[in-house]
Amino acid sequence: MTPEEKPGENTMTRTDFLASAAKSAVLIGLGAGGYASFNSLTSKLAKRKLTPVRGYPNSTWYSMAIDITTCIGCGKCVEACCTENDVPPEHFRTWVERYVVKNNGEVLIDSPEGGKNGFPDDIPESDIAKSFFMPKMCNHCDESPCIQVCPVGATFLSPEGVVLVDYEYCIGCCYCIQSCPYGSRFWNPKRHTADKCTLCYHRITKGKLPACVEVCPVKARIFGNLADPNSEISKFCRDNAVMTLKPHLKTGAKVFYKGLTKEAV
Amino acid sequence: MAPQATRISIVFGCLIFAFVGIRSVTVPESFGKQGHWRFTSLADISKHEAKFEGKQACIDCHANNTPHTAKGVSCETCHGPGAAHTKEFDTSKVVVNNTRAFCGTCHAMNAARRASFPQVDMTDHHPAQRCTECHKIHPEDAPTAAAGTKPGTVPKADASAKPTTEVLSKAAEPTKPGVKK
Amino acid sequence: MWSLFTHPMSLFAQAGTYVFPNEKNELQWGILIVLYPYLTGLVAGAFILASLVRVFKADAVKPTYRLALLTALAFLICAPLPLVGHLGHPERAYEIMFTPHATSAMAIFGFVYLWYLMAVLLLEVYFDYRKDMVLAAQKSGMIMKCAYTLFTLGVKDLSPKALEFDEKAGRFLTIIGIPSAVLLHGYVGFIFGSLKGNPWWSSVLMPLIFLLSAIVSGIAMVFVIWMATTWFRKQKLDIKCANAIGRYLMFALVFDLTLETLDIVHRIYEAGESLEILRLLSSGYLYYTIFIVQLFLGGIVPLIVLAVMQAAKMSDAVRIRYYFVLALMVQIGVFTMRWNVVIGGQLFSKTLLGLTTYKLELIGKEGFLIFLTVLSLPFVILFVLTKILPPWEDHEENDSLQGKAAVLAG
Repeated sequence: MTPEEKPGENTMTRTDFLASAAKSAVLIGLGAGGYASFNSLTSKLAKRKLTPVRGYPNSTWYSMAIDITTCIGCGKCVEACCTENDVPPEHFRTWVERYVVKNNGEVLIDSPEGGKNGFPDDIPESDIAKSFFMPKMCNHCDESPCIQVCPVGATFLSPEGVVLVDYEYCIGCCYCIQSCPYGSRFWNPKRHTADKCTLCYHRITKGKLPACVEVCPVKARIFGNLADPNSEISKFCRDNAVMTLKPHLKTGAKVFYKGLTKEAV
Repeated sequence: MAPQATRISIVFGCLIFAFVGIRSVTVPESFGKQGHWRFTSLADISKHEAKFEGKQACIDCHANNTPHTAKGVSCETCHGPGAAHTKEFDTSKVVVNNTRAFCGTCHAMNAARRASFPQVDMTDHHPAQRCTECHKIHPEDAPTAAAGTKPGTVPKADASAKPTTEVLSKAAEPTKPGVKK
Repeated sequence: MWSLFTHPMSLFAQAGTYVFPNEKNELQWGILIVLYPYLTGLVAGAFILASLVRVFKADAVKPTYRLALLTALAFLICAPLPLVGHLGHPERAYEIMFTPHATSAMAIFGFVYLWYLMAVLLLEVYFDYRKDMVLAAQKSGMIMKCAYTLFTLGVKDLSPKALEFDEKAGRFLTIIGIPSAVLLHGYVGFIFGSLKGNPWWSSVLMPLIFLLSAIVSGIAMVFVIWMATTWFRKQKLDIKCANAIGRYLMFALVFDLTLETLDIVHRIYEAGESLEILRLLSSGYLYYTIFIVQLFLGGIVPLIVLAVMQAAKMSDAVRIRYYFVLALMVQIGVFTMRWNVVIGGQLFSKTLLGLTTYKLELIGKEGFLIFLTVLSLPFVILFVLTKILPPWEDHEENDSLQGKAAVLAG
């Protein structure tokens, strides 16, 4: 404030008073209005809904459920898969893991040749606290990391919910193999592309069961349409406590396991 | 506009034009029809020929009342892929492996296997005999009967009505040991 | 944690090992993919050094400006080679440009690369060298005359106005070029950092670490090339310039090491599900490459020596020798860092319960010989580039004078 204005400092004219009163009123009004709108905004924001679980996008949404408590580890599914899909040796579209929890708490996991030829009876029963076999395969994730990273669109979620590889379009960069947290993808040395379980797409589109489901002697694998509430898989998932692998990664995995325990990787 | 900028714009314009042109020719027609992928690849993948035919095809011609099938075991679980056999049933035969080792893939005692599943100690339980000598896998199989073929329900070629047992009994010799182990 | 330093192999024995059957056969990404971020990083780093002169007016390092530009260009031309070479179907590589998948970090590479090559580096070289090329065309033989004329796009105008436009455009491009260089290499880090399935890679720090190590390696590479070429051409090395580059290298190292340490500390403190396997990995296979080569020999030692050299009194000749050795050590350190990321990220199973192995072949598609070839290719290209577009200030002056004389004579 300049010195010339100082004399008038203590004398407030009517006009000045009205002006400052008006300013204050506006400020108070703005403040109150802001406060009110802030509150209404926050209450509105609080009402916003989150839909963490989406419904099935199509009326056909295939997947598989696996009953760990039933599997006997015979390896028939692995053998059938390799035959059916001409899987190159030493690579697996599906495999079976054996988990043995010993009495001392140690966990042994193995999968010799993917469990293709079964498992040796090499651990004495007296050592075993708990044991189970666990078939593994592509989880046909709904929010699949492999599809996300494919640079050219050579892998995709089919309209039936199956994650497939377009062998004619894949450039073979292996990024999808790196991104799969389940080790379900592999490098096909004959095709020079990525390869993986197709849920036997060539079979299921013709009304057949996937080869692994067809040959399983103990019905440990249940294939079906998740979007059909009367399908075998829907009933299985309803009636049993099922879980997916690595749910914390939020891949939208949809191979459901009954009897999945903390030891499973 | 400076001449440099003009020339550069022309060069870049040509490059972009060429890119768009080549792209429009190169990208497969069905790409992007359903999403960022080649739609016709679905047909390509479906083309793969099935090697396992499925239980229904077996039942269409063959008897189907074994203890295993009663428990829901598929024919091809033990007999292997049968698609070729449904097309060339005279020349292409399914696997019949009745070695002990083969039965053992499921039934050999394994401490890691759930106890509710029937298992035997393969070294202790009649080690010299084939399992099938006592355990009748196909109980209805009489040596001569054209077992279980149900005329009229056979959708396949007529010839399929004949010699199931013959095929099986011939193949039943342990000619293919060690399919497993 | 200390066992990591004291008993590097002790944890091996405790490994309860299980790897997925598909992981037993081979690693998907080999030494060529190690080379890819290394080459790309050199591009980004070299460009940042060049931009110091043009944008930040760091006149002390001016003698390296053009060399840095050409180095960036030479390495950029080779950057996609290891990528394409490693593909299962290299003949389909064009798909990455024609049908890029928007959600894929890798798909954007084609465009970031092209943008950087065409819109930034080539144009900058064009504007920077246009005058020289016009002059060179006048005194060259038939073939080179055509080539130079082609490179100038036929713009022979050397009027002050035209030259001023070159200068302005070049400066503008450098300003665009800095974020582009950052994007180019930060993005390479993102390719690895964005994979949630791999705990060794999945880190928000990854792009930053890649970027800073890129700057470190790029500055060091131009430094080495500049010292070597000056020596070969029997010229006197500008010690002021060398000291300035040494100082920049030191600053870059400080930030780089800070981030790398932060990454390690964060992982250990957070102690997530992957800590055990990563500890096993970094105490075994990767012990020497991470702690000895990457961090100690490639980071801490050069940093300390550079810091001491700022204050120490030593003769120019000794100084230069030190700089040369340190810059080489930094090179090796950064290359090892790429190795530790790319190979290291595949040396453990996705089960987090076992380790895999990498076998480096000598011959073969991803063998050591191919690696050496691709690694040496940028140097060959750089050699050719320096013949066509001499970056040396001394030469340039001579050439320009001769060129001017020629113009006057003409």
